[in-house]
Formats: sequence, structure tokens, C-alpha cells
Amino acid sequence: MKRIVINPQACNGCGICQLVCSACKAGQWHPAFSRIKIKQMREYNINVPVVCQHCSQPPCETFCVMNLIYQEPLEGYVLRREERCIGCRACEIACPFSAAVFDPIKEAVVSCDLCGGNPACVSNCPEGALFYMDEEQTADSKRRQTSRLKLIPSSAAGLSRRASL
Amino acid sequence: MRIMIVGNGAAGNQAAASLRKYDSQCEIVMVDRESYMAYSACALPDVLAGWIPLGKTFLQQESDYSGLNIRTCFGQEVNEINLENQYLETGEEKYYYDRLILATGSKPVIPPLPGSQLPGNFVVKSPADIEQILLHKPRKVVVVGAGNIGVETAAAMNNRGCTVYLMEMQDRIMPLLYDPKPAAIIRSMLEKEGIQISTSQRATRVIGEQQVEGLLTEEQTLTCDTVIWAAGVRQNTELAQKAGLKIGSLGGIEVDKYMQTSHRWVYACGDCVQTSQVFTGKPALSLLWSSAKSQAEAAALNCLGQAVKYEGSCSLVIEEITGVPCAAIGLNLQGLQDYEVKVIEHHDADRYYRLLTVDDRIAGFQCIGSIEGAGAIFNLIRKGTTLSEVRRMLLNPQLISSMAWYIDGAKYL
Amino acid sequence: MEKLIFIDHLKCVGCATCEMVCSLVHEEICSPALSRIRVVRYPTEAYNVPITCAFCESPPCVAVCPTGAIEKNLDTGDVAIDFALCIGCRQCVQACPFGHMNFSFARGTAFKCDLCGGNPQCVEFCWTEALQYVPLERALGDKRQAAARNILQHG
Repeated sequence: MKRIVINPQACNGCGICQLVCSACKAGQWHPAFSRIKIKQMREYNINVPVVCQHCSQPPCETFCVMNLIYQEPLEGYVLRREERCIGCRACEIACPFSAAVFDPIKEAVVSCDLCGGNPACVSNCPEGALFYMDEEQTADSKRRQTSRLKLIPSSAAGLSRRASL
Repeated sequence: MRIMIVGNGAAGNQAAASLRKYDSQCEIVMVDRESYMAYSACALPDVLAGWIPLGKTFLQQESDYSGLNIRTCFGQEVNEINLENQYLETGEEKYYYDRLILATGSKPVIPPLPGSQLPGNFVVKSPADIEQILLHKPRKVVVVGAGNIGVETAAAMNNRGCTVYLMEMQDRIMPLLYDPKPAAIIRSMLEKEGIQISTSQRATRVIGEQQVEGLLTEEQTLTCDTVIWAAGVRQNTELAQKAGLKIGSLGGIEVDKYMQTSHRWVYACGDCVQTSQVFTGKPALSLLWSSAKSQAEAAALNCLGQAVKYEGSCSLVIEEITGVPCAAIGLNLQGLQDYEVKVIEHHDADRYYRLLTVDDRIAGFQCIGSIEGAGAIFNLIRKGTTLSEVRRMLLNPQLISSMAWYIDGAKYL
Repeated sequence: MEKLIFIDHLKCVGCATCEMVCSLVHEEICSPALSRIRVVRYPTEAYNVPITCAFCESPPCVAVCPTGAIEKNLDTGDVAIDFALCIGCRQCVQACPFGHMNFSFARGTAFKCDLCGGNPQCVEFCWTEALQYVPLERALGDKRQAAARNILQHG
């Protein structure tokens, strides 16, 4: 099951993802309509893209008073029946990621729907901060990163590879 | 296995949905005395305001239930539960069950004052109430009770063009949600819209011959043609009580952390139960749509044999007052009266917020004007992280980039 | 913690016995994808690195979890997931510096090493002794001895 995976170290805060998302989803060219948002911590020069994580037990689904949030049966995407939304915004507070976004024109809350399987933000990110991959790939890439670190000292120290056998 | 659910509200429907999600084979039967398909009680004030049609508040159709193989027996009132022989009796039928989930909810209370039964007295709870209010063609409305429902109803009727008088018994509006200062800010927002508000007022009688003509308080006489009572609810526990199930100190059906009642095959969830507050651990009633759904999911899983604990309730109430979002999360000073509370407050032209902490742990949060980042605070309240722990995490740039969920909330600390 | 799993990746031959045993013990099927301990293989360089939970003192997974589903037990040192609270947001998967944290879409929750309650089976079945379940001092002592031997051998 693929989800948007974020590499915050690579994000430079350019905001192209926000513009592309708002264009594709709301027909606007403005970050306010984007479902992916760049959060910044200027003191550390950190830029972090924040977007719906399509949780398996989405808190937003529990808090929705119109029961309009549901999980798509095949891939588990968390989707909304937007036409039912009365704009109460409870889901915005339920979401720990602030991934639920209030669209002031629609007067409804919207969130990332993964563009049906080909997220525009991922394909347009120039810095490689966004990936669309499944959990096995995510965990595997992290493990490879770690194991690389483990391998460096041994080769650098020149110790024989099979010293104790 | 046959599982019966009494109640077609938020809890009942979530219980049915969760049961079907985790078990495709069990037999699910829902009973409710109302004939309505499931509706959102929270959306009803929006209908009064004229923002949405009544039809939009209905959440399910017949086909949704049959599509999930859920049998519905709506319009049938359960008269008795026989715990020993495991059956329910309605006027028409006897239903045997293997497990029972009670989701009987609550109903608004109209105090037994003189005149409170006259035509023109209403509550806001079901689509029928809304239809009756609109049929009545209200022009001058008194809303008794300035809790969340009272305030939303007052704002809705005001939006409709009625003259609205909002009355509250305690010394401030929304006393269970907000502290005095934010309550006063919200009050002035409402008053600016033309809603008259008075606090520390208690209704004594409703006057009128054939229908409502006015309301008397201890201090004044108010002329009106409609009285909407939003002065509190009572849990629908008569069935449970009659059957011999234990009722708690606050009037709700007593359940343990597994949503099980005093009888091992009977579970309960929603407005009708009493659970515990997530911070204090004390018995609490959580009359929210979201609590009903979380409890129902837990009840359903436990029914199916999966031991799942309900973590306790944490209040989250949000409303848009004249277009301005206001949220109250967790406990306020009144709810934390047994504790030593530290308040972090901020007030400027754009927004107001206050953070209540006890022993360095966030216990409550109220904000007006902007709800950005409130989600992170909500989760911190439930998680129980101390402020110093949070600040320590914030100082770690390595960690903070993984805690994207937290960056927005950081501004409140 | 009293004892921890110490990994000497130089002894690991990538046989996947630990992965098969772990998944068998926890999930009742032999499937490395469901194993808590995972071996990262570099076939061309012939390196194999087993990765499992480090039971950090200040676990990033605990910090990033929005619901507090992951908890560090300060007495036993154990880091465990409460599945009832896990919402399946996978932040822990992204936060674990070692890539240990696993996620099961089928169950909708994260899963991790639980030391088999004190008798880790991967260690039990690792025939090259790449995995050892020993107190910190023992492991360090072994390493020092191995390093000393090396120095003596190679001058």
C-alpha cells in the first residue's frame, strides 16, 4: 500500500508541491488551497511537508459528525464524501498532522486523496523530498541507510571480515 | 453469533459498522424506537440556521444497511430486556441474542415547570424536532441553556431572522467548556450579532393560554412565541435499569474499560454510558459524537472477543461563532478544580488561546480565532506528554523533522 | 536494560534463520517480511547486517507517536506498542533511525521486536553467534578481547 513518504532533510521549502496541489485539486494557484503544507521551523532552518498520512485507524473518521470519511477498500486511502461536509472542522483538530484543510470557497474540509494513485506533489518535487512508496520500501530504505553506517567502521579499521571464524 | 444493537444513533451505527468490518459472518440486528434512518444530531442546528436542508442530515439509506447485511427493526420500541434468557421484547417481537450492545443515547430534558408542556416548547435532538420548530414559524425565541447546543441553536435562530434571547443558569455561557475569560469573548461575539444574553438566570415558568407567549425568570418576564430548551440531557437508562444492569453515580450505564456492563454479555456505548475522563481518571459523561463512535468501536471489538480498552474520554468541541472558529479541548478550570493549574494565555487582535497545565502536563486548551495546531495539542493531552518533554523534543532538530505533526502546536508553548 | 541483543554483523552469513524463526514465533508463518529482526544483505560485497530494536533510552518512536501508543517502560527498559492506540500513521517507521520499526497494512498497526518476553528466539537459533543476548558489560568485554587478540596477532 503506497503512501506519501517525506524526507524532510531534502525539503528546501520551495512550495512547488503546494502550488501544484492547489492547481490540480482546487483550480487555484495558492498554497491556501493545497492539501500538502510546508511547515517551517525557522530557528533550525527546517522545512517539513505535512500531508494526510492515510492512517489505518484515522482519528478524523471518528470525529466526523457526518460520517463522510471512509477508507477505500483496496488501498486503504482515506477519502471524503465532500458534498456531505457541513464545515464543522472537528476533523482538523482530531488530525495530529493538521492534514485536514478548510477550503473557504467550498466551505468544506478537504484532505489529500493521493490524486487517485499518482500524487502530483510527488512527481513535481524538484528536491526529492517526497516519495510515493509502500511500507516495505520505506522500512527497507531506512535499514539500508543504517547498515551502511555500520559497515563503514569495519572496512575503515581494516579488520579482517571473518576474524573469529 | 447474533449481536443485537439497541439504538440507531452515532454509537449504534458505529457499533454495527465496526462489527461488520471485523466479522463478515455474524448476524447483526439493530432496533430503535424512531423510524428514521441514521441522522447526524450535530448537524441539526445548521438546518435551523437555513444553511443545509433537513435531508442532508441523514447519513444512511436502507441499502446501506442491507448492503452490509445488517437487519434493521426501526420504529419498534424495546420494552424489556431479559438478561438471564438473553432476549429483548418489543411490542411486536421477541429477539434472542448472543451479545447485546446498548446504545440508547440520551434525551434533552424539559424541566417540569408550569407551562413547559404548551405548544411552542421545543428541544433540538431529532429531525422531528426541527420540523416542528420550523412549522411553528418562530419569531421571538428564548433559548434556555447556553451550553454548546444552546449557543449553536441561538446563533442558528438568529441567522434565520428571529429575535433571540439566550439564557443561562450559571454565571457564564458554555460553563462546562470555557473558562470565564474566553466565555466572555464568545459572549460579546454573539451579542454583536444581535443575540441578547443573560447569565445567572433561571427559568421559573412558561406563560401562555393555548401556546407559548412568554417566559418568566426569577427577575424578569420575557415575551416570546418559542422556547427552546437546551438545559441538559438525561441518559436513556430505563431499559438497562429495569433489566438490573448497574447504573453509575452520574446516571449513565456503568461500563468497564472494555465497554462491558455489569452483565458479561451486555456492552454499552455512547451517550447512555459513563466512562472515565482521560486526564483525571474520574467518572465522566462524554456526550459527544466522537466519544460515541470510539466507544462503539471498542464495544464491537470486545463483543467479538478481542479485548480492546477504551482509553477514556477527552472532550473536543468546536463551533464556528459568526464565522470564527472556537475550540475547547480537554478540561477547563471548573473541571480541574481539584488540581493546581497553571495557565498560559495569549490574546491579540487575531486570536485568543489558553493552555491549562497540571504538573507540567497539558490538561486543557481553549482557543478562539484560529485552530491551527490545536490538533497537536489535542493529541498531547491524550498522550500525556509533559511540557518539558515537549520542549526537549522541540530543541532537537533531528527529531523535530520527524515530528511534523508537532510543529504547528509548538507555537502555543 | 539488563540484557540486549548484540549484533556482530561480521559473523552474519545472511541465512535468514532469525527472520524465519521470528516470524514463525510471532505470526505462525515463515515469512521474513513479517519478522521483527531483518537482515540487510549486500550480495556483491558479501556483507549482511541484521537490524533489530535498539531499545533506546530516549526512543524517537515514542516521541513521534501522536497517540502515545508506543511506551518506554523505565523499569524494564522495554519499548512496546499498545495496538489499541496505534492509528497506523507510520511516523514511527519514519522516525526510527535504524529502520527497525515495521508496519503491517493487513493489521493496520506497527510492530516491533519484543525480545520474545526475555528469551529472544532469533538469538537462540543463530548458529553463527552473530546475535547474542547478553548484558552490556559482557558484550563490551567480548569486543575488547577480540580487539586485543587482533592487535596481538597483527602486531
